[in-house]
Amino acid sequence: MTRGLLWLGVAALAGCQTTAAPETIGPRSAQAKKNFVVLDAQAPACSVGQDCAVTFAVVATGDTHVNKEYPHRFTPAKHPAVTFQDPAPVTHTDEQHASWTVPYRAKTAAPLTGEVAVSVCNESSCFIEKLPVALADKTAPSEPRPEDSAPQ
Amino acid sequence: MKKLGWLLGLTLLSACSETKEHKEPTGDAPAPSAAAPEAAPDDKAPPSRAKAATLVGKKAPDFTLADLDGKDVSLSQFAGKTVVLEWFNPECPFVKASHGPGSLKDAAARHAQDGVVWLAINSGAAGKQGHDPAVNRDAKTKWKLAHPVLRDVDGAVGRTYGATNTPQMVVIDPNGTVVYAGAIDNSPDGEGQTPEGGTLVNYVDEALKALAAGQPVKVPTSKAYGCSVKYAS
Repeated sequence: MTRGLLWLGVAALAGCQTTAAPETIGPRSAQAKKNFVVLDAQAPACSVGQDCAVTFAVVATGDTHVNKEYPHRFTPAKHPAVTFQDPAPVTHTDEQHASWTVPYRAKTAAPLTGEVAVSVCNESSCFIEKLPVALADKTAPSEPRPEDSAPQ
Repeated sequence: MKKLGWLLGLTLLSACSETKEHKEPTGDAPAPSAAAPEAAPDDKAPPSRAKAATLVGKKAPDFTLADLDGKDVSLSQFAGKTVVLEWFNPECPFVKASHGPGSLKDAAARHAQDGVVWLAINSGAAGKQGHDPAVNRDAKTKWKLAHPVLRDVDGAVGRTYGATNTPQMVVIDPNGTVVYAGAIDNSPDGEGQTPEGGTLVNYVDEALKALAAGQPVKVPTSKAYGCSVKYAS
């Protein structure tokens, strides 16, 4: 009987290790476009409960340039399972490009949604653009199955 | 022995549940604060970026400008009163943000109750963004602005005060001395959403509070943000 209980405990632990494997989130991405701004958001695959990050890359289009004085930001939609940390400073690679990364942790594979606010200017005016963002799982390009190409 | 077996089994199960549960702080996810804006100027280079701060502690230069109805308004007619000057462009997105959700929302009306005179000045040249009197009238109605919008079409007053951005603020004490020059607040998005240091500070509110209390203004200058003033080139 005692031996049986010991086995039960060991078996329970073994089963536990299987279910405790962290759930993977993503990779996820989103693209958005509005007036003079093209936005690309990329969140590489990461694990639930671990340090994750989403990077926002902005391109100013037409005759505009990124407004270096504006605090470009991502305002996440509130979700109880996701906690965002302070973003890294915005990097301006050139007049048209800027990017920044926002670290986060998720208790579950919760949705990553929110709004990105950026500003671009041309010679005469500045514009503030607000783009809704909803990162979706990237789907790998489907490989043709052998039976698909096999002669009938 | 039987007890020992049960104990071992339960301990192992308990250890299992701990590894499954991720101990995360609870509560709403805070909005990340933005990085401090860079010092590099943007938009069209304004004529006198550093001038505004040099006016602090000096007598405010007098001016006479016409309002949207053509009626002349002089600074000197408000001698003995606290006056706030607000550089204004109703089509500038930062002005829109400030008068929408931001720090300028109802600010003039709030301070008018304490006898503060508020004057908006539009130094945009003819044909430039925000110059059209009709657009200014619409903005006055939309934002319920009871104070005058003064037309500085040749930009002379704006240049005298070193106005580089819209919105940009000047606070003048009842003695006619400039006690504050700079931004409306420390949140360069205009909406009050990304204050530097994490806490929103409305510099004009603070200056007026200090004046009312007979105390020196703690932050007499700040770097204005927003659109460039659309002077005639």
